[in-house]
Amino acid sequence: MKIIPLHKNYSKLIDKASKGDRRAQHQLFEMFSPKMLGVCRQYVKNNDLAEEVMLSGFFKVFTHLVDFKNEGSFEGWIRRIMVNESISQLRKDKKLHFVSEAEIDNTTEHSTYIETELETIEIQKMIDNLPDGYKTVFVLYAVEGYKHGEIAELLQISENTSKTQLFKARKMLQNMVKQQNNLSYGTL
Amino acid sequence: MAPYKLEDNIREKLEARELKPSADAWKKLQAKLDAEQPKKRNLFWYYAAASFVGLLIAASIFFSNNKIEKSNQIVNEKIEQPKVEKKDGIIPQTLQSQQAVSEENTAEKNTEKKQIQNSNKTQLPPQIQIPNGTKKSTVDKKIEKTDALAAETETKIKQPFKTEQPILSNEENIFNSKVDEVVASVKKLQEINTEVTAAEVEALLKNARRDIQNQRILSSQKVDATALLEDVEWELEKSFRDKVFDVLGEGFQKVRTAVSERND
Repeated sequence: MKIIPLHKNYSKLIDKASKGDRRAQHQLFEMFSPKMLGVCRQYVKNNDLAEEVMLSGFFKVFTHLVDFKNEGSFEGWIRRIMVNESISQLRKDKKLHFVSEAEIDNTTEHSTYIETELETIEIQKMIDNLPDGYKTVFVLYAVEGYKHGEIAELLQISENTSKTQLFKARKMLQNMVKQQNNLSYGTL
Repeated sequence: MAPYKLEDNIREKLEARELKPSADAWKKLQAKLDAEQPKKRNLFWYYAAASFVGLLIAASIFFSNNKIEKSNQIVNEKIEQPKVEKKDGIIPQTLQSQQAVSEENTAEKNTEKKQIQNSNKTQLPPQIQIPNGTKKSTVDKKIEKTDALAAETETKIKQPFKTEQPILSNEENIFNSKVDEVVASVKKLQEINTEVTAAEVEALLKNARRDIQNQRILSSQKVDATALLEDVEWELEKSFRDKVFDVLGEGFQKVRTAVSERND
């Protein structure tokens, strides 16, 4: 609902920034960097490294701003760049290796229900504890809303691998939640 | 019983999350962006320097070509001059008439028209009836134009030349006979058909023009073919066409306008 007026407001900024206007670039950076650091942090465990990834993402944003044709949301465009940047960082660190596993028949979604809402810090902890492959597929699918086909293309894996990775990530998360519940029940 | 879906919970929280970057994050980015721009500027200067060098090379080639042309012409003049002196004594009249004609364009045209008409009537080769001087000057003038160097052309006008005379008379021969040919065939066409179409006239002109041009290129010693071809072509086309139309007279005014309009 708020996206449209906002979009109009910063389309001028985008225009200026694409021509190399530092002040406009700074403004855009101030507007989007906290959110984008959050995006990068989903994939990259280390805070400093996440910021580095975010900065190189913004570097790409500003040097390729001419390619952004006001179609679709600017935030979505930046976000995609950040996701790609994060994945190439993981790849650089050799953290993304997917072992193609036997097909799992039962990959249908079993929603996991929880008693109390998890806080962001708890969620981040859980995600950080997932292996990088599981984590990446899970975040892309569950948070960014990518389809298995898109994930397969992005990570250069098969769709089936994407599905199995997601399945396993979910299982692990369920176990973590259970453990936490057990812990909390235990303390009671 | 559980009120929350784990994945919705995760998505909502993560989407809403904002993490403040460190204080010097923007400075780092700015430094990176600043480092990018001088690169581009450097590239620009490389291009500028390269294009400047290219220009220099092109200019030097152009000017050195000019020099070669000039030196050639000087050599030619030297060859011509001794013969010119001999000639001066022999035919002073041609000299006079030549100069007079080259000064007065209209007079020249009129005389030429008459000459061509004469040659039509008698069916004799035109060079027999026509004094050499006037004819030569018309051809001469065309060469002048193509040569583009005023100094050289001046000497040419003043000095009749023995070496070029056979060539020129030969050339003018062809030129005139072509005019006659075209006129004759146009008249023939007129007799056969009541109307002569522009296309027919144009075809005749085209053929004749090509013949003249070929002859000129073959016989000419001086014309720098590649450089001046276009010029020559234009001159030739124009003057030849004008001549034919002059000969044919006002009856062909229509055709003429048609042809010129078509060219537009």
